[in-house]
Amino acid sequence: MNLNIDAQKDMTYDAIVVGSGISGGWAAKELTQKGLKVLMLERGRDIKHVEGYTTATNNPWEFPHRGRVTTQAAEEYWANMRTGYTANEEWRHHFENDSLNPYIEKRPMDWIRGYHVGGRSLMWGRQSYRHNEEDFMANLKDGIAVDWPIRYADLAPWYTYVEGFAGISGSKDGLSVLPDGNYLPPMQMNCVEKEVKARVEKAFGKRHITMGRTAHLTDPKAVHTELGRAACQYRNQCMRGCPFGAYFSTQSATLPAAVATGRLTLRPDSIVAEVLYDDKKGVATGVRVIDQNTLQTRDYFAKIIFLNASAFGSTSILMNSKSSRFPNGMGNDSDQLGRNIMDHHLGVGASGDFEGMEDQYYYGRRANGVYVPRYRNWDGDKRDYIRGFGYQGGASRAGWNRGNGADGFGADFKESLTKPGPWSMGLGGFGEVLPDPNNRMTLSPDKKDKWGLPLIVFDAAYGENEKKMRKDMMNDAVEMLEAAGLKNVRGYNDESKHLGIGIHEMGTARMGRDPKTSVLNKWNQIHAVKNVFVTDGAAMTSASCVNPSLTYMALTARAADFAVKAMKRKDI
Amino acid sequence: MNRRDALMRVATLVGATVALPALGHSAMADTLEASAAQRVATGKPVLFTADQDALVADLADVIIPTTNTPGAKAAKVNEIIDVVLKDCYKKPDQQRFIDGLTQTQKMSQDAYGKTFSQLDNAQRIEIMKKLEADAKAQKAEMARAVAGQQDVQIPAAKRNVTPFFSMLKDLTLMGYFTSEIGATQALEYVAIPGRYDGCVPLKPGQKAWAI
Repeated sequence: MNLNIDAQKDMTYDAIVVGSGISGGWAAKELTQKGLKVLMLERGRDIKHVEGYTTATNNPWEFPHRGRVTTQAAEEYWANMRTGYTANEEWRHHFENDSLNPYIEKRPMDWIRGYHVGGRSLMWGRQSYRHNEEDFMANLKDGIAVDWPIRYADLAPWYTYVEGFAGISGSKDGLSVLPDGNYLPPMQMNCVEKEVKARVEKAFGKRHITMGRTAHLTDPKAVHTELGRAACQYRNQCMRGCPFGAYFSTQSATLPAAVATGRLTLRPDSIVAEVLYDDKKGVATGVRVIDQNTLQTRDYFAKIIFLNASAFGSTSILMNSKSSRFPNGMGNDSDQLGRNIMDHHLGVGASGDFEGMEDQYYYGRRANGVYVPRYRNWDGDKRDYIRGFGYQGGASRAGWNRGNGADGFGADFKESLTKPGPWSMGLGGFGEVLPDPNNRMTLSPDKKDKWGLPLIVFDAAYGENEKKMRKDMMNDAVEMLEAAGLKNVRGYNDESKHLGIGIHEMGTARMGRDPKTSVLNKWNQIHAVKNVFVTDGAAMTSASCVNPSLTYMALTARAADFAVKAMKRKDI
Repeated sequence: MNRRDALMRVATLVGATVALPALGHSAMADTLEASAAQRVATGKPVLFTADQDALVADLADVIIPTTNTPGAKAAKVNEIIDVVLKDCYKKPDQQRFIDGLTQTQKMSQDAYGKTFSQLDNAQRIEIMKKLEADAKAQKAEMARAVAGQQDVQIPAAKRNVTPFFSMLKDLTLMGYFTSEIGATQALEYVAIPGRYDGCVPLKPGQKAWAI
């Protein structure tokens, strides 16, 4: 019997982290650095830093279809095709084949996944903003959903902490709507962006244009270089994986930091089917894992479990974790598990042509743009909807592909396309989506994936508040570009997309003060299972309109700190 | 790590990736790359006949001729058009392109009694102008059909198709400006810029960035 005891010992860790993306990487780093022996489970394949980025240094002519999507890939990557970019040949191998990983759409949902070590930290947009003080009080003030159990002051020191390690470049603008952080130097605006900024800020006193705050090393510090990270080289090929480790990802930053402690075990190809629960002790004891290749099942055990499998991933694991205590899924006493799906709604804004500055150009490819912080329903403004939106945008000179829309061919036509084209600038909105309990996911009672796990069923859609907001999102963009003197300004409002298209899925296991109306407490613990923490997008109580990943990082670091202290106190 | 070290690291990486199958993480990649690999290995077109392949090379060279930099034919644009049409276009679109090639040869024969490749440069340009005008007319007709004009008789399925010339031009520009010749000679290509300068005065004769 000794053999079995030893085997069980081998499968036992201080902590298990489920998922290796942005928040899972942070959980692994923090918990190992605080002395815990950690098992990090990743459902997908391994991708090694640098050597695993198979297309990172390809020249344009080295792609068999020059980046275009084959008809076969278009069929297989049917959800990715809805984004218009994630299925491209340059980085398609970092996204999931949707036909092999199906889900059910009672109402349409655009679910874009990255099942591999690093998760979507390899392909994320890298824009990094703090929620502001109002964001944490918005539900309370509006009387909707539930109140956040934390305030900005609870998270502020953790924002500062994660910004320092991740390396966020940005300018400090002193705006309460977009709190300043712990930044590396900002990237530069180009000539037209500077001019449009000046004109917009003059025309609209309360609207601002700032440089995008992004997780790129513009001036690396020792904390970055000692992990092998280097400064951004301005290639703008980030989604292929960065051979310089210049943007924050699990591979470039949190994974090497966790590995350096000697206390991390990373196990790819390990799909977590459920969290194991001991009815007598009232605690989670471990997780059940299915090997994605061999389909073999193994159990792993730990004192604490961090779920960081992405919002829908973590929630589906909890839903599948049934026991006599939790017949409807672990931690689902409130019936809120799976509800309140949020995202940011986009595909709305404007673009126009800038006349002049023909003698100005730029050097390098900046994987970043400008940002217009929220100004609607802010500082005295009041609309017929609640919450607000920000814009990401940028100016550039047209390239050779302007030839497709133009008449002509031949020598003069060719020569004209070898010159920089006219300037144009665009602003694309990112709007807050309200939590709605009817926007939900459930598990299919009968349909299963190839690993025998139930498929997720989505039943969610944008609401009236979002639709009203979109009118402002388009009209305001037109108004600002016109005020800045741009010509031929074209507004757009593409309503053909669905929740999920922002790839910012949030909610489904919200934080709250009351176990009757929320799944997680203020430390991201499941109210009724104190040794299970959920610190990915599932935890979000409201969405704000800013990109969410930085908040997941801060929540994770904060929860890990709490968890280790609680373990030392023997509270969990 | 300074920039030099970082570049050394990428140099090592380039060495490493050569030994790896590109996009080699799934069996799927093999089938997705098969056409390009087949074209390179056999030197033969994967969709076109040899005649069609030669015609596409000549047509593309009218759209992007050799000037002070090499043109579309030198950049072997016909090869990437062949592969992309085969792998990235649906059957009806492939057929429309092939039909367009047939129609172009017929126009050439009707006008000059010669195949397109036997025409002189001025005659080739005349044919291309005719193709461009036909495409414009077709687009205008489709727009009128969509707008519900009574006198237009176009079946619903054919009201939103890309005319042959537009397909040819799109594929030629893509094939040329993403080729090594197009990107590095007609345009300026910098693989690793190393920095970003937001405002740089344009130098006389400066070319556009390739990407």
